[in-house]
Amino acid sequence: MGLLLFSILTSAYTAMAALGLSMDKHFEQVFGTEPKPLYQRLLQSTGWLYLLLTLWLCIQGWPLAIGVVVWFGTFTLMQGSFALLLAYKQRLSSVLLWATLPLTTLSAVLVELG
Amino acid sequence: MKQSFRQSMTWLHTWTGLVVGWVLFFVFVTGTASYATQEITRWMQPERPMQPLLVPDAATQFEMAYQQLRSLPQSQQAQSWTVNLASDARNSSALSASWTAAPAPGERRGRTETLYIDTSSGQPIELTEPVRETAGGRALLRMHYALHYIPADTAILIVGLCTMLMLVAIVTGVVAHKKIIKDFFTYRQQKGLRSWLDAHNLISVSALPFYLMITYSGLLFFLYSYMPLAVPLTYGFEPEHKDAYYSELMTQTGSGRVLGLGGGGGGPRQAQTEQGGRSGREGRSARPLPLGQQAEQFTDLTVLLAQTEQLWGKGQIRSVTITPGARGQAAQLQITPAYADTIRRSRGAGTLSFNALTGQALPAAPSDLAAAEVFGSSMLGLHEGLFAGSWLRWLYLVSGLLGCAMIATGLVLWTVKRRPKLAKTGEYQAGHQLVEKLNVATIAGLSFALAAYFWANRLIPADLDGRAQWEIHSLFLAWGALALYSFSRPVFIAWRDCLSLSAVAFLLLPLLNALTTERHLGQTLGQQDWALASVDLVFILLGLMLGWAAVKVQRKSGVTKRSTATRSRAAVVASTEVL
Repeated sequence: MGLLLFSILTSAYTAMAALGLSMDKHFEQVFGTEPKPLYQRLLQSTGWLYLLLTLWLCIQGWPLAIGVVVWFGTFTLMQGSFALLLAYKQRLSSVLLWATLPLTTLSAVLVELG
Repeated sequence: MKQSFRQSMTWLHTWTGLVVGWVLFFVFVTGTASYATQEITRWMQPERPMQPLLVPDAATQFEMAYQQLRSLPQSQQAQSWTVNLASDARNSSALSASWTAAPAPGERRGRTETLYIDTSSGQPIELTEPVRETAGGRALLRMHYALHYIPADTAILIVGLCTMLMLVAIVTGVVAHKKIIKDFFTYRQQKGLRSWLDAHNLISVSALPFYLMITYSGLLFFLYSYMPLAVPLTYGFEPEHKDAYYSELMTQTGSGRVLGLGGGGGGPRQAQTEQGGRSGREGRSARPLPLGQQAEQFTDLTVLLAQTEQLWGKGQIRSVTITPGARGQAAQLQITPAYADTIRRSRGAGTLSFNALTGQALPAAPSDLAAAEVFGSSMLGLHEGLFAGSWLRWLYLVSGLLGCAMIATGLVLWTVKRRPKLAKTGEYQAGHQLVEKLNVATIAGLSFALAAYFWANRLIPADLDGRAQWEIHSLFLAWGALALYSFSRPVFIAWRDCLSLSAVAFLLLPLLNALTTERHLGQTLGQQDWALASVDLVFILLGLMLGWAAVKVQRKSGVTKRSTATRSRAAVVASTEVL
């Protein structure tokens, strides 16, 4: 459960942070420039991909209906967390994304294997 | 002047929100606490044993408790025996054996007595003091739909009306929010009104699915109270007409029971014995034997426990209930799982039943449910969240707290928006002041009152008659006192003082706990009793958040002695509670 919970948390953060940073104003807020279109696309697709990955992870740990409830709740938490980081610790909000992206991928693979 | 659609929606959002905001804040705070009903009750009964470090398998635990039930003279005549096994599941912190007597004449349910058992020795745990009577988490749960001091019927209608308006406020709020996608992550700090609006928007959007679900499903619990004529107009006004409706409903939904009637506990209690096999030759006599005597004929029940544990996995059994045979039905053993696998509100879902004499498995109740039943019970189930394990339960608590914060920021926002303009033109009148004062009294006052509820639990003598009622009185007395105070002081001093007081009250609770009981953090953390420890830890967290809000108010007042400052503090409070 520990590993699964970890991957759900990091995956949800990845999704929220990627989607948030794919928006012009937040990208500028963190990096000081407008995002290149390709970069923006990449962030956007990462965001949606990890949104779905989080759902998949939730369903691994709980029956479908309960898993969906967990999915919603986790996003409530992570949307708020990312918004707070964005307001008070811009740098950290993106650095964390670079950390959670590979960690999620790794732990999700471990969940699938285990 | 013709208004745009969005403008009218904004108007509607503002005023529905304001009118019902204070009642809803109370409903949300007590409702959020209700996601921890059992944990709170356990904290309020510090005499109960802590979670054992070593938990034996199900069969061993059951055997320990079963021996007690069979040998105790008090339990022989009982109507049922229940063994709750210790496990990591919620509310399963101790192994216990309980027996329920037949209901006394005129009462609906018989008295239940409980014996806690040491999982290492198998002997009853000698409690140093009897478990105190407490209003516990259940009183908060009841208050969130039936309020207190007024008849439940009236209260349910009041809360229902407020809930309907809340649903209106939520939907119109979504329409009124101009940039719901663009501002999905936006919070601009230190910008006065802008920040308040951002905070309110952010909090409201973050748990929007939860708010919609909780408001809508909240209305389903008492739908017959809100529409009292719906059934009588079709079926007739006599009581037996009502019964006709229910029996028709039950055959159509396939549930065997009706949802949504009379709230909390659900409607007419159906005898849960239908599924029992009609095989028993025993117990055909007019007066069935007492359970204690019947037990002599039982098969080896521990085998059934071991089998079930093998099937479900270790720690997956919550409880075992044994009911005596009567009227041609054999005595039964029911094994209930520790974790739910459905969001539906379904009593006894997943329970396995056995004939206690032969050990034969009995067929489960058919689960052929009509779509309406599935929808209804899913909504009620989602509202109560009884299926939630620890992670999901935390998420429910966070969402609930966000709900409190949404209402609080909304209320404060109303004043922040109006005050500067009105103060300038001298139109700042009684109505606005009333709103400001009610905000302090409700938001900071209720926070303090909740802390007072827990203080009362520790300070009122454990053996005082009617102490449960006094715990509840303490909550409202503390609230009343703070309300009086906030009405008698300038609004922003009232904010600062009430917030500081609430913060101190929450921060000192773990200390008070340590001074008055053996169930303080030093013990609970050491024994890894996380459920109990988390109650103290949440108190500290709430205290810190309230304290932070108080500091913010104080600081802001230092910067500007002007009235503008007031609102920001208030707002901070709200957002604090949330985050």
